[in-house]
Amino acid sequence: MKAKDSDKQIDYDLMVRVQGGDMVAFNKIVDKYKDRLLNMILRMLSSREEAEDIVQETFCRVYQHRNSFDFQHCLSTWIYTIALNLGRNELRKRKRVKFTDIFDMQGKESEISVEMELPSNLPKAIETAMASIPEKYRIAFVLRDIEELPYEEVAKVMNIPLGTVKSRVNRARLMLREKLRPRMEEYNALSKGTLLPVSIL
Amino acid sequence: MHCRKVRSCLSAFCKGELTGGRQAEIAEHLVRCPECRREEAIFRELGNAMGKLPENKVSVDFNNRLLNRIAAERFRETRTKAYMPKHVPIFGWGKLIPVAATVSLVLAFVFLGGMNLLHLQDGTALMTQTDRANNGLDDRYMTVQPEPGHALTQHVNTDWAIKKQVAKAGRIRDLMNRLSTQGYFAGDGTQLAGSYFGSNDGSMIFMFPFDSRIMNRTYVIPQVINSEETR
Repeated sequence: MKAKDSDKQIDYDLMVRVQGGDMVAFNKIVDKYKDRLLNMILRMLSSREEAEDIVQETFCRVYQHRNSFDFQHCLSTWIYTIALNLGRNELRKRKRVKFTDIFDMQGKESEISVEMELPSNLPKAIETAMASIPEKYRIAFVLRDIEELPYEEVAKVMNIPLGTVKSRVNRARLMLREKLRPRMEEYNALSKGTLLPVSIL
Repeated sequence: MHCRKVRSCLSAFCKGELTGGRQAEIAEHLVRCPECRREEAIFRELGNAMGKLPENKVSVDFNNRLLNRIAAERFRETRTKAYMPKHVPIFGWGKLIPVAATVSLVLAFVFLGGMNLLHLQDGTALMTQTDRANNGLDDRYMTVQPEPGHALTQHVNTDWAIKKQVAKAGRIRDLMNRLSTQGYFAGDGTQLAGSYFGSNDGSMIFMFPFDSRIMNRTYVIPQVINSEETR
């Protein structure tokens, strides 16, 4: 908790300097958040170039609107919100551009319903499974379990109630568990009795 | 607590996100239920694997590109300010006024000066009606003290306007001399013009108006020159 507070204080100090026109402080903020944002956006868009463009755009917006930053909120929340909104806009654009003729899909139902092939490597299998869960669950899951933001911050970033965040994160975990069931059971069977930590209070 | 209910909370249980009472209930259930224990193990493994996910990093020159872009945007912002307007007019009517004034002055100088130079060069040109009418006194003559004789202009300032006036005066004097020798003047007492006069005895006197002493005297010209006859 203390570490979190000091982290927040560092962010505020940097932001005060940025508002005063200090580019070194801005560079420090960029260094701190650029990779985190990239990972989040990459899991939304699955395109590295686009993700990097959006991260760049995020920092440009941060700089442009530096004077409108409200110090009552976390800097990280603000930055994540900007990035998330830009990512969503990009997804919306993609949906607008993609047109699928339903008549072309006739006779191809079997192809659509084919189960995805999970890679043998577990982290890769998780990435693949994550990409297949619906966007609203995926974003909540990424922010909470991968970026490790507190639930309250995720709620602010996504602009949804706290309870909804919790339910979406839980739902995403269960979906992921279901998708990874064969791989995890295989893994579990291999390590049964040797590695698995079964913790009971 | 049923297994179904427990399994729905297992992920939160593994992360320690449940409240104390709920956490204890699930832990108690896990002691009794091997199936749920197996599920719990899978969730924990999944959690561990999440921490091992490959972390993507932005490209090396990301910061430079970003700072360049911000610098470019700041420059664009400054261009919109009043001291550096976006649309600088290449041609403005305001600029045309001084240019037109300068051109007209140069043209006037060249044209009128050229005319005067033509007059100077044409030493044999006869005095016209307009010349006679305009032969009034000119203050500029007061600055020069001429000497009598033909070499009148040798001491005169080289200023072209004075040269011109001297040349004109010379022409007038010649004309008057010619007229007087031919007896064109009869003494009826009429003043002809400011520059040339007749004497009381009927002979014509030309007074070049440089000498103030002469200028202050009154001269009466015996007869008006008939313009037709002078030609």
